[in-house]
Amino acid sequence: MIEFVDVTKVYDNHTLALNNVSLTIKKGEFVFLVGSSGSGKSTIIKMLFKEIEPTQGKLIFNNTDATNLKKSQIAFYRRNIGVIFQDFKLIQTLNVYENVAFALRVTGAKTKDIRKKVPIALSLVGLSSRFKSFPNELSGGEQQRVSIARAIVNNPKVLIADEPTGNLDHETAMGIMDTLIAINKSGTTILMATHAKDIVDSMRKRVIAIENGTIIRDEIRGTYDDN
Amino acid sequence: MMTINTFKYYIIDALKSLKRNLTISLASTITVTITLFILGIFFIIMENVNVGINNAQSQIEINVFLKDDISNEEQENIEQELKKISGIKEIEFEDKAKALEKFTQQISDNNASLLDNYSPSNNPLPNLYRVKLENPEISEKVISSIKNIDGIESIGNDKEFTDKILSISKSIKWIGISLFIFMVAVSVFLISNTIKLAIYSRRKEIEIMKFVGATDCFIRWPFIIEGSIIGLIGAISADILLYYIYKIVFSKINENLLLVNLLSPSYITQAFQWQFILAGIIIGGLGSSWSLFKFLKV
Repeated sequence: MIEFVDVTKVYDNHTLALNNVSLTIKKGEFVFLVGSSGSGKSTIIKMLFKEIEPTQGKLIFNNTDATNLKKSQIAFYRRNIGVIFQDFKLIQTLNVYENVAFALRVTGAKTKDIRKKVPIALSLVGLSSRFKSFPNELSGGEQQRVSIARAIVNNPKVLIADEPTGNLDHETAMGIMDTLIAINKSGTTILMATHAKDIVDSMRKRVIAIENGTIIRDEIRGTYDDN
Repeated sequence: MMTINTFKYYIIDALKSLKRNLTISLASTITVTITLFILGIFFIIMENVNVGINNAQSQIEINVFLKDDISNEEQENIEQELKKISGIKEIEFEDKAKALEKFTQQISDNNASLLDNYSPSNNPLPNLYRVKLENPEISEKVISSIKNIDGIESIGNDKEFTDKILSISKSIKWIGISLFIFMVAVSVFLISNTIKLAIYSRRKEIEIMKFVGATDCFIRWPFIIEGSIIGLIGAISADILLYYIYKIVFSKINENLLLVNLLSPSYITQAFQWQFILAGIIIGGLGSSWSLFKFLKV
């Protein structure tokens, strides 16, 4: 599904963010990406999301070379990938329903389809009853659920979660993880960058650890720290 | 290719987001209104000055004095020759009797004794043609052409007055053009900055649009339409404001200064309407489009 082939990234300020990284994530996998701040996690996520390009190497997505896509192709590429962030990135002036519908509307979906798909996504994250609320009326956990609903409403092949539980308490975080697991079980590949040791340790999923731009560990049923 | 349906969606979206961001939309509209209003005042002042200059220019005339001993045919011939010269707007014949009458009227109040010895039978004034020009700049050329006509005694024109009018109108023209460029630049700067501010306040929305896979085109169009609507409303408001305020100023000036010849307020409704509205729409739309470039780089 996702393949990094000998990827190196050097930023304009000469920082070496990734050093000859190769990794493969198969369809339907749930992968944790762990490492300290500045280790290169964000670079991998940004690269996958086409915010930045590799300096060297190749990115293959869904068996297609996705390195150096044309600017006009990037929007269409991104429709295959749902993304959720630590700070939720919801539009404050839109209610829950509109925030989720937004992701469909920008792809040019028909109103009929939007009316069908948004309630399904909202029920999947357990927020059907709050569709009229605005983000500032919701708790952190609920806001993150809206952002998950927005990320999956398009049926993306891959869901990227960048520190999705970073702003949430443990209980709420575990609720979010249950939702992500459910989404993963329905076939969506998930790549989640996190600092949450307790979560990673309790899930026992594949863990890729990265330090100084190099993969130092890749375990099938891994933990946060090296055992 | 954009379908009608997509375009309809863009318009609906633009209207919705205008409503959602009411405060900033209102601020932008007011900026457009004020800027175009000031630009409009400038236009009206310039147009009024131009009318004044044109009036002054139309006063400029060349007097062609005829020899006393020429026959009617020769005089006819002179008139025909004058008519052939290009750049002449109007030719008016004034015979010596009329000239004396005019002259008498002009000086009778002060020095009536000067005219004691003169009467229609003893009239020293020559017959003359008063020649009005299309454009004072060509007066010298016209004079040199007139000089070649037979039967002319002399040519009189107020060179000093002509030169003064010419130099004033030239300066005003240049000042006008410079001020116009300056005012337009300030307007574009002010309006595009306000729009930039409005878009800046929604940069997060744009970022999210990019993340969920919106194309640049999809992001840009509603903003452009929104900017154009703001420009349109701002321009219409400026137009209305300009009309009513000028109408009041016009009637006040006309009441007190009868001699000043001002453009009538209907000039605004005739000359400003579509230009202003078009300018508003273009500035609004382009302003949005330019301001967006920065935010579309995500």
